Amino acid sequence: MKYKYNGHLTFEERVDEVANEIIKVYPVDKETALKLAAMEEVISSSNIIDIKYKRLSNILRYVNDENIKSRVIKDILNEYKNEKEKNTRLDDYISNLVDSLKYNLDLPIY
Amino acid sequence: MVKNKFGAIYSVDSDGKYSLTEIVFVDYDDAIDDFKIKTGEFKGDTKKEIDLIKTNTNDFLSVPNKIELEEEKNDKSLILFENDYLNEIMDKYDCEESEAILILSNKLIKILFEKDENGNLMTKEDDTELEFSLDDVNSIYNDYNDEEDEEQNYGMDVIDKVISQCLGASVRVQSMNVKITLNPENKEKNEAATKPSDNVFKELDDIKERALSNPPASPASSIDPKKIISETSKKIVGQENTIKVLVNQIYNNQMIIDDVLKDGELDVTELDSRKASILLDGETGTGKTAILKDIAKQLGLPIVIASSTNFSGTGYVGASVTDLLKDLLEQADGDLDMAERGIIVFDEVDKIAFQKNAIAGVDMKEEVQHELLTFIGGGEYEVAKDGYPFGGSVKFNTSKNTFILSGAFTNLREEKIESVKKSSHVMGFSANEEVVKNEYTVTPEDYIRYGLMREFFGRIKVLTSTNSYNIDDFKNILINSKISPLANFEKTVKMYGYKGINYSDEFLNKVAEEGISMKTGARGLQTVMSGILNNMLDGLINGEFDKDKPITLTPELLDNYKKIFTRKF
Repeated sequence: MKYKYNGHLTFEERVDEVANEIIKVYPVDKETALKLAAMEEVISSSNIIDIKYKRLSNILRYVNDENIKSRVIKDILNEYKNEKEKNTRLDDYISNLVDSLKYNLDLPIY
Repeated sequence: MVKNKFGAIYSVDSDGKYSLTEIVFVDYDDAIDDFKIKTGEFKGDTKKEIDLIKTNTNDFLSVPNKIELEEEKNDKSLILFENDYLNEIMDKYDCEESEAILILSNKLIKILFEKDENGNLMTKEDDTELEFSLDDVNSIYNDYNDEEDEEQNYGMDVIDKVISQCLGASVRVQSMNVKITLNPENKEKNEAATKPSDNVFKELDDIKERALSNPPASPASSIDPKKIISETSKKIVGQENTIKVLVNQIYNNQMIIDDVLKDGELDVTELDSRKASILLDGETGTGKTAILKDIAKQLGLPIVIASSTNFSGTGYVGASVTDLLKDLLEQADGDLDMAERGIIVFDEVDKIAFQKNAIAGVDMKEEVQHELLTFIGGGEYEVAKDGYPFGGSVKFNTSKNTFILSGAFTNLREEKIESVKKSSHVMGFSANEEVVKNEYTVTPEDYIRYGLMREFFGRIKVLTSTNSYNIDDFKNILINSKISPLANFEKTVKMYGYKGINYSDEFLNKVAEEGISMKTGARGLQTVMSGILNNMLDGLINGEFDKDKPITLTPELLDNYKKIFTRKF
C-alpha cells in the first residue's frame, strides 16, 4: 500500500486516493474504504509510521469480514517485525493488539 | 436480482502479461454472486469456469489488485462494468442504440449496444478494433474530453472515471466515452443532447488524421496561470505572493522550453541561460510541499521531492539519481517528453550549507553541494528498463527540468528577526509601543554567508519564501482553506449522516493556539483536529450524537485530544 503525500489535495480527492489504495490490497467495498480513508490524517510529511499503523488499525477495527481481519493482523505483525524505527507508541499498540487477541478484548486504536 | 452487465474477459500468460480476450454481455445475479455469459466465445460460462473480479457498486470500476489477479486459479478472469449509467442515458433520451468506445493503451474498441424487448442492453454488432498509436489515443481522449463543449459533458463523468492498470501493463483501459445515437423522431430531446455521429469510423479517421498532423500540445499552450494561482491560493491560504511567483516561474520555464524547441532542435546553452532554478525558503509546515505539488498537479507536470541530505560526495545514497528520474517517468506514465519537463525539488538544502571555519563536516557538505550543482547543470542519464513501461532503457536529459531548492534556513530567519527587533529598539520605540516593522529582506549574499556556494546563485535566478503563520493565519486556514482540517472534519461527520458541525470563536482560538504550540506549522492544526476526531469516532460511527442538529465543537474537546491510547496493566 502506498502512503503518498496528499497535503495539497481536497478532502474528496484525498479520501478517494486513499480509499483506492486500501481497495488495492483488501477486498472492501468502496463506501467502507472511503469512510476508512476519512478517518486518516492528511499525509504531509515523510514520516509515515503513524499513518501506516493508524490505517491498518482502522481497517482492523471497522471492517467486519473475518477473512480481511485476519489478513490485516498478519500484515500489521509483519510490518512491525520489519520496522526499522520502532517507538513506544508502536510497541504499546502491538502489545495491546496481542492482548486483545489472546483474551478476546476490544481491538486497540493506534 | 439479475442485472444485465457487460464486462471484459482477460487472461494472464506464463510471463504474467495480461491480454484482453473479449468484451461480453453477462446476466449477473447479485443474490448468488453468479453470472452467465450471453454473448461471444464464452457464452454460457459461469463463475465456476471463469474467476469473477468484483466491481464496486458506487464507482464505475474498481481497480483490482494485480497480486490478487495472479493468484487466480483459472486462466481466464472477468471484470464486470457497471452499465447502469448507460441504461439511464438511453432511457433519458429514449434511444434505440448507443455506442461505447473503449480506449485502450494501444487500440480502440467500439461496441454498439441496443435494448431488447425486455429493456436489457445487448451488443448490436461484433466488436470492432481499430489500431492506433498511443499518441493518437491520447489525442482522441483529449478531443472527447473537451470541457468547453457542454453538450458532450453528459458523458464526461464516465470519461473521468479513468480505469488504469486493471488489466496489467500491456493493456491499459484509459477511458470510456459514451455517445448516444438518438431516435430521430424525438426532436426536442435531440436538441437537448449531443448530435450523433452517423459514421463513427469516418469521424475517428478524421481525428486520427488531425492527431498525426498536429503533434500533441505542450503543457504551456493550454495553461492559464491565473487560474492555477487562484485555485492553489484557495487551498494554501496566506501564501498568495509565493504561489504567484512559483506558478509564473514554472509556467515561464515551460514557455521558454517551447520557444527554444520551436526551431526543432534543443539549444541547451540557450535553454540553460534563460530557464530559472528557484530557491524556496520557508519554515516547516508553511505549505512549501503542498504548493509545489498542487501547482504540478494543475499543470499536469510530474514532480519529485528528494532530500538534499541523501546526497554524498560519491553520489546520491539511499536512492540513486536515476531513481528520481524513474519516479518522474512513472508519474508521467512513461511519457519521456513530459518527464523531462518535470519538476525536481531538493528539500532540506539548508542542511548541506557549511561554514568554512566549522570544525567538522565541511568537506563532505562542500562535495555534496558540488554534486547537486552538477545535477542541476543538466545532463543525460540512462534510466533502467522497468522505469519505462514499454520496455528498454531510456536516455533522460535533465536540461528541461525545473529545479527547486528548498529549506527552512531557521538560523538565518532567527538572525534576521533579531536584527529587525534590535534596529526597531535603536530607532527609539519604547517597550510599550508596537513594533510596526514585521518583515525583513534576504539577498543571495545572506545565503552565501549562511553556507551555500556562490556558484548556486549563477543558476538560482528566483528567490522566494513562504510566510510564517500566526494565530490569525491559522484561524484563516481553518475557516477559509479548501483543504482546511476543520472543513475535512465536517465532511467526515457528514459521511455518517450528521448535519455537520458548529463551533465558537473560542473553539477556533483554542485550536489555533494548540496548533501553534506544536511548532510544526499548519500540520499542527491537522494533528489537533485529528486528535479530536479520534476521540469522537466511535460515537460518530455508532450514532451516539443527535442527528437532528449540527454537532457542537467546544473548547473542552481539546482537553483530551492528546490521549492516544490506554494501556492495560
